Amino acid sequence: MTRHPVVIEGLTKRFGRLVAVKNLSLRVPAGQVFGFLGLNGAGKTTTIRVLLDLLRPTSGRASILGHDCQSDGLAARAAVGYLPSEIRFYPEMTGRRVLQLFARLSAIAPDGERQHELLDRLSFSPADLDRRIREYSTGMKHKLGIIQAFQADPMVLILDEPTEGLDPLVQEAFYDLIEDTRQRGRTVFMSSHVLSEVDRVCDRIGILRGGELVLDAPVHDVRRLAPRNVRVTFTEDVTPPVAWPPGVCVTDIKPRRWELTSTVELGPLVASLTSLPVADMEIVERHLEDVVIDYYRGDA
Amino acid sequence: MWMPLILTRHSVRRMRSLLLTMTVILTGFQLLLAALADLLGNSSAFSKLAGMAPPAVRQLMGPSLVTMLSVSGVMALGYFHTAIEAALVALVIMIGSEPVGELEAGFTDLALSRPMGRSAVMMRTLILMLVCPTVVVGAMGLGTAAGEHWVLREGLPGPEPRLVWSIALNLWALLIAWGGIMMAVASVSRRRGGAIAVVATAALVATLADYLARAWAPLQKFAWLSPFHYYSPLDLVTGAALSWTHVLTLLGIAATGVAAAFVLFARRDL
Repeated sequence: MTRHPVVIEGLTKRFGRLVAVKNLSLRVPAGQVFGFLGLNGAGKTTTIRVLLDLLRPTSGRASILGHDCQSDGLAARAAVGYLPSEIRFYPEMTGRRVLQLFARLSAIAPDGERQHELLDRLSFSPADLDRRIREYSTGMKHKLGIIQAFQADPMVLILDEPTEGLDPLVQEAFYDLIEDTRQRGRTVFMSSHVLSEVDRVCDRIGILRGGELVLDAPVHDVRRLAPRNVRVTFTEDVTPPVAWPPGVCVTDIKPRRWELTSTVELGPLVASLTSLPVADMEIVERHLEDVVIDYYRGDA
Repeated sequence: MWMPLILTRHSVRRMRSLLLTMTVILTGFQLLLAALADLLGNSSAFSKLAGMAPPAVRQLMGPSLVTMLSVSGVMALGYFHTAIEAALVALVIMIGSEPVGELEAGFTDLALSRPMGRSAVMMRTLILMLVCPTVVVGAMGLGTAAGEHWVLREGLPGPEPRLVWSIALNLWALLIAWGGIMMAVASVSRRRGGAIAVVATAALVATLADYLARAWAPLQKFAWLSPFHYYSPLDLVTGAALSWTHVLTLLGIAATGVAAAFVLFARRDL
């Protein structure tokens, strides 16, 4: 099996004068969930559309499972399940007809058991499947979109804003589905704006800003970049040190309470506190969101 | 199953009501024309109508006036009445614009994210563009034959099978030509409405140019630009042989449009 099912090398896409994606290179390791992040217009959907050969790159290349997305697009897409951000089906078709049609167009014949399991997980009843799309709510259309993307159990899933319009219960079911997909060795490439979702389901993230990749790292490494808030309280008044351990910044100092932030391991800070009358020490966990927002703003 | 056939089945399902309705109406119209021809033929109304025509009309139409005012002429009218032509051209415009309609509807994104080439989308449209006019025009021919057989009274000479076949073939080629033009425009468009507007306007201008060129000499040197110039039902009704040059010209327009559509759709950003 390919070590990196999704590979993008030096990809640039221009629309006239606008450079939507600029010299993008990344590799998504097999069996991982890759979160592709960026503000609106950062180039996420453009990249996804190049992977699906819906857009042609100005320069560079992209491949899926070793197959070039442009020159060998059929083989590349044979292993792909795709969920677009704006899911639209013909309103006069029933859900069942939609699933049948896309099953026929997929290279892998989906098994009925898999489809039933997906319907079950997403609380989609057979009666719903026999209704016309025009009678569906936005959330139901989105659920149908998820089912059509997952039903052939593809090796690579490309999901563009997968949880938009889903209620919290279905979101939970979707996260379980992603976890299950990962455990079965499938690779997921998903764009999202929901940072808590990315924090929860992704193994690795890439952040696009203005069409350029500004970060590509495992989620736990990114989380480490976030400063931790440390609050230390003392049993009596203490004088703060002249010099703080490297990576530690002072937020607020009171005689019996220090509020600090640390971007490094806390060992040196804890060591510096051993001789002091510490009553309590509170450490606020790192959030991926803090780092990602800094990258979005261009502060990082 | 071959991808274009899967798409064709999907498209036929979506269009079947329109196709069926149109086929029934146009076939029924041929039967009605047979009934009208029978009525006029039996009451000797044709010669009275010819006598009532103003001299200017007689001069403009020449010998075709007499031919038109006959059982054959009335029955052939179903193949070149402006409303019929407009309806049939609208049908091929609708079929030829389906790729851009699917693009607008988001269907193309989902379909082409499967292991399916872009050519499958165009191949499907080509299949429909060839089959649908064949079915509708074929059904009209059957309507004419049925009218001649069951509606016309014995002794009234209906149109020769060769005449019906020639007009139907010429009409079919005209429709295929407009289908090809529509496919080419659809292959580079982003909005179905816009693409249809462009081709419908072109069809209207081409129709008017063709009409005017027949009566106004200065326009005649530009007449070759209109696809309608290569559809000459009145000549056929007056006994002229089918012009294969015209048929091949129309098929050439269609082939050029279809080839352009395949190439442009394969190269564009979707």
